[in-house]
Amino acid sequence: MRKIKLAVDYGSICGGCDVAFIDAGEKLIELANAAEIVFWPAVVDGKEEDLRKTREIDIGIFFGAIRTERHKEALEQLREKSRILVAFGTCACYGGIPGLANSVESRVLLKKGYVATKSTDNPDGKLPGFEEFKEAALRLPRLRSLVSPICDFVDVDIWVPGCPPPVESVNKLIDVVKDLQEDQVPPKGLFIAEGRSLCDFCEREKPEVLRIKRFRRVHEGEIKRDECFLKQGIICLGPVTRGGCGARCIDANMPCRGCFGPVPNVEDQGTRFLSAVASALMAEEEREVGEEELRKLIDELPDPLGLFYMYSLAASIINRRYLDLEGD
Amino acid sequence: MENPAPRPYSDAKGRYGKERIGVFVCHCGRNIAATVDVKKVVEEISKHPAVVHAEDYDYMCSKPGQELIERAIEEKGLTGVVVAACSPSIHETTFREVVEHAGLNPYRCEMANIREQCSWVHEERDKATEKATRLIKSVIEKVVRNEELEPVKVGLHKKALVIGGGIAGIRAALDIANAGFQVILVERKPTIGGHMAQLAETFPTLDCAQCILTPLMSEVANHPNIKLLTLSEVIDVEGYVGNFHVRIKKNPRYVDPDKCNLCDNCTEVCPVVVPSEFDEGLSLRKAIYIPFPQAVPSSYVIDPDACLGMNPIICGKCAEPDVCGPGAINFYDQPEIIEEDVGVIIVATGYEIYDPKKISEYGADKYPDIITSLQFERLLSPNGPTGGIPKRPSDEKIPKRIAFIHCAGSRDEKHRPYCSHICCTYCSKHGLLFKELVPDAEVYSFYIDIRAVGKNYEDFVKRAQEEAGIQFIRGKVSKIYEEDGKVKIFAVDTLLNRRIEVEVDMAVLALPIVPAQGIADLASKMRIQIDNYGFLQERHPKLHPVESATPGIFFAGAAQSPKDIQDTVAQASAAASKALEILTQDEISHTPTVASVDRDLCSGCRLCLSVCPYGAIRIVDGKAEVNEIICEGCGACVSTCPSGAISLRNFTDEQLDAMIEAVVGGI
Repeated sequence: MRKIKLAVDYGSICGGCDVAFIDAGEKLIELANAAEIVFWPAVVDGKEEDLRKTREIDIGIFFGAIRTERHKEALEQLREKSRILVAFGTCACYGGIPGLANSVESRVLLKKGYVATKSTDNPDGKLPGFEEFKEAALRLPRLRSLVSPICDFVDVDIWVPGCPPPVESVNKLIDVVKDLQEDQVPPKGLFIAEGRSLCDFCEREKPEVLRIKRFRRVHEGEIKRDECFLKQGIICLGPVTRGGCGARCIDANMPCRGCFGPVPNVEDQGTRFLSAVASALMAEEEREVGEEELRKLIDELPDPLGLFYMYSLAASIINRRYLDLEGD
Repeated sequence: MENPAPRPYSDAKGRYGKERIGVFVCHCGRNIAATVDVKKVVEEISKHPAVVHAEDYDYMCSKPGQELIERAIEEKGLTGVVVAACSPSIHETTFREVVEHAGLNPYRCEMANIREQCSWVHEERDKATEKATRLIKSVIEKVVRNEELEPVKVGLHKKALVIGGGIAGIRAALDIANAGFQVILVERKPTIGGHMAQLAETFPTLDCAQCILTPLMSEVANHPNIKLLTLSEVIDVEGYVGNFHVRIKKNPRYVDPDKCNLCDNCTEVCPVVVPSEFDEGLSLRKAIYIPFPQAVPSSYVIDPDACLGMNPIICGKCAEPDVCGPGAINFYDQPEIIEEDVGVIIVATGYEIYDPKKISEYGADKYPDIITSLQFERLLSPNGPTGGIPKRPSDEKIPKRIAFIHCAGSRDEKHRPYCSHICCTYCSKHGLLFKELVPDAEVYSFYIDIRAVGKNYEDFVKRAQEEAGIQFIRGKVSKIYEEDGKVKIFAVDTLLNRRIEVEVDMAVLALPIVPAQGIADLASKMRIQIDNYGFLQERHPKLHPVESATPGIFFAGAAQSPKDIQDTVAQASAAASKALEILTQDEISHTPTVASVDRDLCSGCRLCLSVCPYGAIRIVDGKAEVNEIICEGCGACVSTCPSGAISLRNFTDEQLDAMIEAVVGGI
C-alpha cells in the first residue's frame, strides 16, 4: 500500500498537541507504517525547505492558533499543499487559550511586555516585529492584531478539538490516515468529537429544574461528586460544549471549561452561555431580589471573559470587526 | 446598497428562489406619510429582487386597502406579503386574515412597523424614509423564511373556576352559570359576600348594600350550575387554557350545613368569645357562629382556633343533643382535597385594607376612637354592632364632631404611592350618612385632592359639601392622637396656607386598598404576574384589561386594582364574557409560533425550566419538551438554552441574522 504523505506545521502552540500524539503509544507504529512524515518539527528531523519543496501532501495537520504573520504563512502553505487539512487541538479550531489575548489588541500586549513593566529597560520603546534587528540579522515575525482560529483564513476538512485532544481522538485521526491509504476520504467538515453536548455524556444527577441562585468557585467548599455542577452553583460549560472528550474533567470532579468548543448549533460559545446564565440567574425572583442584589450576585463571577471564553474568545463574535484589518 | 438589480426582479444570487413578495405601504393618513416619503419607499422596495409588487395606500387597514392586498395576491401570485404600517400588535390579525382569505397561509404575512418604530419617533424625512425602507427589507428577509403554519388545536373542559366569593366573584360566577356552564366558586371565608356585605349603603345612589347583594348570594346558593366551596383555598393549578387541573383544599366547617337549622342554640352555650371579623373587631362573636344572618351557605361554623371543643374532653357543649337537635356539629370534620378540571379561571380575590399599625402617627392601634373606614361602615350599618347609629368605641357615646382622613397612607411614598380610587367618594358618603343620623354634628374631611371619578360621583361629593355642610379641608394630616376623650388632629390647610388643629370625638382613616393576603402565592401557582404593589397584572391596560398574560386566566375586581362596586361588577361581567368566549368553543386553537426543541441537540440541563414563565416545558426522557398549547412564544427559553437546541417557529436564529443584516447592512 502506498504511504500517505503527512505534514504537521505549527501556529501558536504550547507543545501539548505533540504530546497528545505521544499518548497514543503503540498506535503510533500504525501511523509510522501508514504515513511518510514529510515535515513535523517535533518528530522528524527536517527543515522548512523540505516542506516548501514538496509539491503535494495527502494530509496536513495544523496545531495552534494564528498569532503572527509567520503562522499565517505556514498555515496558507500547508493548506495549499494538502488534500486534507486538519485543525488539530482547540487553538487551531477556536483560538484556544492564546485567544484570550484578544481582550486587547496586540500593540497593548507588546507595550506591556516590552515597555511598561518596571523591570524592562527599553528606552526607545522598540517592539518586536516592528523593527529589524540589524545587528543580529534577525527579523522577528510581526504579531497580528488579534489571535485567530485557522478557519478564519482557510477551509478546514477535519476538526479535532480538545486541549489537548484525547488519545481516542488521536487514534481516530490515525485511522483516518490509514483509510486514506485505501482512498477512503472522510466527509468534509468531519468533527472528531460528538455532535451532542457534554451533558449527554455526564453521569452526574441532573436536577428537576435548574435554578441558578448564586455562583460558587471551585475552591469554595466541597464539590459533590454525583450532582450537576450548575446545580451546585459552579459554572460548568457542559451544556454549551461538544462531548467527545471522555468527560475527563468531570470525572476529576472539575467542571467543564469548554475546550471542545461549542455544540453544533451554537456559533458563539461564550455569549451563548452568558445569555443562558444571565437569563436563568434568579429566574422569577428578579423583582424580589432587586437590581442591587443581582449585581452583587454577578460580581461573584470575577472574570466572566476568562470563564465563558476560556478557549473560544478568538472565534467569538466579539472583536470580529477587526478581522477585516490585515496584519495590525 | 445590496440590491442594484433593475426590474424585472432578477435575483442574481438566487437567494429568494421562487419567492414572490408583495409589499403594501400604508400612509396612515399623515401618521406615516408626514415623516416618511411613502412613494420613495415604494420605489426603492420595488427594486428588491424578491419583490414583485409594491404599492401604497392611505389606510391599508381600510376595506379598500385590504382589497388591494387580496387582489395583488390573486393577480401576481404572491407567495408572501409585507404590510408596512403600524405595530403588529394592532393590525397583524387584520392582515393575516386578509391574506388567508386570499388563499395564502396567514403566517406568510408579516408587518413592518414603520409608524411606532419610525415615523412617530423621527423628524428628518430622508433618514426616516431610508429607515422605513430598511425595516421593510428586514421583514422581507423574515417572510421569505417563514414556514407555513397551522394553529395548534386541543379540546377543553367546559367548566370555570372562580376564585373569591365577593361581589366580583359572585357576578362572574352567575354570568357564566346563567350561560349554561358549570362553575366552581371557591371562597376562603365561611360565607360568600366579601366586603360588600359589610357595607352600609353604597355610593352614589345610597342603596342598602346588603339589600342589593344578598339576592345575588342566594342566587349563587340555589344555582344548579354553581358548585360553591367555602372555607376553601386553591392549593395547586396545573395545565393550560381549556385544561387546567386544580386542587382545592376545603377546610372543615365542623357544622353540617344540610343539617344546621340556624336555631342559634349553640352560640348561647358556647363559652368562648372572640372579636367578630365581620364587624371589624367592633363586636364579639362566639367560637361557633354565623358571620351574618344572610350568610351563604346558610349555616353556622366553628372557628377551630378559638373553639375548645377541638379537644372534646374540654368542651363539647354545642354538640349536646339537647343543644343541637339535628346533630349538625361534628368535631371530627376533616379537611378535604377536591380536584377539578376546568377550562378557565377567574381570579377575584378582592382587597384588604392597609394595616393601620403601619401608620403610627395616625394612632389607630393606640386609641379606641381612631378607627378605619370599614369599621365606620359597620357602625353605620343597621345590622352592625351599634344598630346603625354610630357610637364611639371608647364610651359608646354618639360623636358630635367627626373627621374623615382621606389618603391615610394612599398617595404617600412611605406607604402606598397609588390612589386607592374609592376613598374620596366613600368618605363623602360617610359624612352624608352621618349628618343624616346626627344633623347637628360637625363633620370634617381632610383631603389632598378630591378624585370623584365616575358616573354621578362629582354630584355626590358636591352634595356632601353643599347640602350636608361637611367641611372639606385641603391638607395632609400630620398627626392624630387621643387625649382626655378627645381626638386631636394636626394638619396643614394648604388653601389658606396655615397650620390647623382640630379637636373631634372620633377620626376615621381612609386607609389604602391593598391586595388580599396570599395573592402573590396564588399568582405564582398560576404563573400569572403581579405588579409592584401586589395587584394582578393585566395583559394590556387598555386592550386586555381583564386578561392575565396566561391564556384562560382572567381578573375581576379589586384584586387587579382598587375599584368601586360599579367597576368591579362591570369587570366581573367582562371577565365572565372573556371566559365564555373560551367555554363556548369546542376546541381551543393556539398560535403555532411557539418554541420547539431539537431533541438531538438538547443537553437536558434543565435551565429552560427555570425561565419559562408559563411552565410550558417539561423533561421527557431526559430532554426538554414544549407543550405547544401552554407556550406563548416569548422566547425566554430560546435565549437561555446553552445548547442552541430551542428555537422559536418563524423566529429562528437564521431569520434574525438575515433581518439584522438587512437592517444594518452597509451602514
